[in-house]
Amino acid sequence: MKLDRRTFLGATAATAATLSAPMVLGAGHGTPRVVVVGGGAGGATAARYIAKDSDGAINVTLIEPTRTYYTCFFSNLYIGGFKNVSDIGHSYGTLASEYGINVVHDWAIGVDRDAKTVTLAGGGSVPYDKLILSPGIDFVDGAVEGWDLSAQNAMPHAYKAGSQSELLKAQLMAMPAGGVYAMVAPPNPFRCPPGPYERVSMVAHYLKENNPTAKILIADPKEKFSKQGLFEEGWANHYDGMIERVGPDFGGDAVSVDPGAMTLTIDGEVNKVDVCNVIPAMKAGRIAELAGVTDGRWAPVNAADMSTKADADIYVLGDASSQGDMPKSGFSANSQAKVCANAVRGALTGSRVFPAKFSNTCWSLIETNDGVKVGATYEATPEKIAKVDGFISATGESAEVRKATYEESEGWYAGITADMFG
Amino acid sequence: MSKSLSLFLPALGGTALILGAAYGVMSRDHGQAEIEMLERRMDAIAERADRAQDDAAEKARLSQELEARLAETRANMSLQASGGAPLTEPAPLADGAYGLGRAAHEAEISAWDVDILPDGRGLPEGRGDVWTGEEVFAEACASCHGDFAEGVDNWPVLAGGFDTLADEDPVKTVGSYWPYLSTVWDYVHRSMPFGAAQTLSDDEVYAIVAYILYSNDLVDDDFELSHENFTEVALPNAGGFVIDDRPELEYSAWSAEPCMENCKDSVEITMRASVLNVTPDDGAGEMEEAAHTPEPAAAAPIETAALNPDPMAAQGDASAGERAFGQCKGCHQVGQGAANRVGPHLNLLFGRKAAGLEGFRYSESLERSGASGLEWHADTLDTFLENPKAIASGTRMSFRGIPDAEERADLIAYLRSFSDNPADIPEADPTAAGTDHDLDPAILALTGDPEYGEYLSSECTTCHQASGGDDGIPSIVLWPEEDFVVAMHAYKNQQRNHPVMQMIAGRLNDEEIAALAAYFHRLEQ
Repeated sequence: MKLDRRTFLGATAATAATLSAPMVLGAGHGTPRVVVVGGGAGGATAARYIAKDSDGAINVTLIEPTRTYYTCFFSNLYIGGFKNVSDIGHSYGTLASEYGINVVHDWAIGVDRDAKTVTLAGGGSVPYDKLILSPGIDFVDGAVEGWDLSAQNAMPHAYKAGSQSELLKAQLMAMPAGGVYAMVAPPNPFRCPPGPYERVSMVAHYLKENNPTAKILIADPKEKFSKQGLFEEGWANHYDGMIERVGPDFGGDAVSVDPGAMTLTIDGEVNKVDVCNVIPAMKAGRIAELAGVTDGRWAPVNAADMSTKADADIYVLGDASSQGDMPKSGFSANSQAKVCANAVRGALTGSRVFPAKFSNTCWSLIETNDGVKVGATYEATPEKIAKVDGFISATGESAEVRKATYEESEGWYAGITADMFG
Repeated sequence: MSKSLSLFLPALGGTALILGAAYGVMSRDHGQAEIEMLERRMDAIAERADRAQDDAAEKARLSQELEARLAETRANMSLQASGGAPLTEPAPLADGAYGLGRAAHEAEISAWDVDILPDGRGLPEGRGDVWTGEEVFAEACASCHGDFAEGVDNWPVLAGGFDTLADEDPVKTVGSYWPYLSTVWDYVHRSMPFGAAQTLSDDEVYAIVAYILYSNDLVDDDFELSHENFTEVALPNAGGFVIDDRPELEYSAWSAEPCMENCKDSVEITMRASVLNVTPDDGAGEMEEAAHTPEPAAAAPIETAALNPDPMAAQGDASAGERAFGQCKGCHQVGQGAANRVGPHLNLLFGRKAAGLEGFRYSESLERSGASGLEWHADTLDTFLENPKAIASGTRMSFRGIPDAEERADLIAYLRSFSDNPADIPEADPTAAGTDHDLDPAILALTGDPEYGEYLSSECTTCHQASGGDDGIPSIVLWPEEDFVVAMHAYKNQQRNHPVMQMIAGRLNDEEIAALAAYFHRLEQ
């Protein structure tokens, strides 16, 4: 049965490939099929927009292993105690029931680009005419000496939200009085550039209230980081003396960890720590590599429609893509998904394709009602997604502005999650 | 002398040549030309006076002022002709080199030369006691330095701090650190109050200095400071200052003959300011512009009042108002990121209740005005800016007011651009009528492409919920089409003040905004 199906589908796809007019593609086997791998800010948005706007003219399958998706954005606010874990969890029920998307809870473990199928860990495969990969990030093996995935229980990364976030929060709460919370910050490029520093702020907020003599130690391989002036101003205002950041000048780029002994060694100096939040160097989610569309750690894409340089029928969204100037963020992935959805729909059904417009805004919370933001707009050029214009919160803003910024971020969270999950 | 000069200088009006007079020689032609110019202006004033409805006293005052100046200029001319005393010798360096300016009058030099030296040289006659000082200080200084000279927020502390000089974070005050009282007198007289320098009388300066001494427990409350007993007051840290003439330090370097040419073998650029990250991203041009903003000349109203009998009828010019705002910038911020400083920030000022910002410490006087219903609109702001004390007699805003109605109108137009504009479309109330705008009717008449609008709207729904939820971020559904277009253009033109919306709307063209409006309009049906 499985073999017959694959044979049949492979033959159809081969037929389709010989046809030149894209909109006739579907005619080879009835309704055209889009498969989306990864149900986060990129994938869920792309699946929803294609299903919504094509009105049944495109068959959409979403492959996502988790039943409940925990957003990475706002997971720091959970660690700081501003949100419950249930606040950042979302189900795919509406995408299935309201939008008719075929939601498959499984791991995609391979892509056959000739046969145009995606292989599932649970067995079987799913055929596609257009494949959208939005797998997020995985970690680079050996990026932090002494750390691998088997150590993520002792030294959590909490950079994929959910159980890891809950583990890190539990470790934070169990810290002894006056203990040390250590973070190994990642090198560029990585998911959510302000993320590690918002997390430090949230950890400091928790410790200030519950464990005020505790310290935070950051080993950072980067000279500079996102919203640095804003964070450092906030840390001095709210958490004076609690946070120490060791940059590359002092060995922040030469670290190793020992998960058994709970030590963090910076430039040869051994620090005994109580919590060690290791955020290693990142790369595209593994399925992008398995599909053969990566070059190095990330998947290069064309700015106009997010199609990969390697395969015009495979698109990569969000963190996993290498696209130019946009930061790796949920907002960016959501923005790219809409451009991609418009292009994919146009290719499969002949609907109008409009010029790509991208935008991004990242809000970060430093302390209660002390929110800051940075944002930019982008356009597609032949070489890359290029920045057009941008802004950033100013240092020394009034408490009123900062509170409004935080409230705005809550509004955005409600907006983007509705945009992703319906 | 400084008194007579303060009359003299504004009367010079635009003739900057005299202000820059230290270099050069005054020509007879120039003096004659000035006399002719002044005579013409007197004639013009007289003519206007005949026509205008202005009261006679004002005319008389202006005439007197001009006559006095005419007489003075004539006197200088004749003195110059006879080689008389008030003109100094031409500065030798500039002698004929550029053919500009003239030598400064002794009166001018003495007006500029306000230095007070530690031995008391330069002190004018006068006196002031601690009690008077306390009153003057509360009025003119306390909004920054605190009622007890303890310093508000990060403004300088003037009192206390004894025995902290060796600490890691020393508190350097007049009492704990400053070596000479003359520096206090000089500084207060020269530069204070912030934004209104040299408006204090000599007696007031003596009184303030006496009060600062009292705040530092250096004198009793019945102390009176005067030019007679001034040098008797020794500050505790006078002995803490010595000349450090070690050869490797600045003093020696500055004392040596400076190298003026070919001081280095080769010159190369070692680092660029933009790489060092010391170049501000923006605002640099603005700062420069502000720095060049002239103080409003007291002579200006003579002309504008006559040319424009009812300036309030005219619309202000916001760009001219931006320049006029230069005189407010020392205390007030406006625009993106504006925060409360010495004065409250001025965003969304229109419609704000007087003393209406939570978290800012207003004078009781302004609080009372607000409580009794005063709101900031064009008319109330105009009255306030003309003479702040007329609206709130006890306001902390130590600002003399702007006599020129046109300048006030410009400033008000500028401030209005940081309030919701059009003001009658509140962010969260989509049903309010939007008529107060100056958008080109051709833009409103554009027919948008709803399908393109639907695509563009996907950028909106990342933040704005399609369901109409409005927690933290306003709802954008169910807006009347015209209001939507007006609001988006207001963001695009940076009249509405939100960085994300300014950025998003800023790159939408007229057709795209029309397309969005058409899409949202279609949703309603």
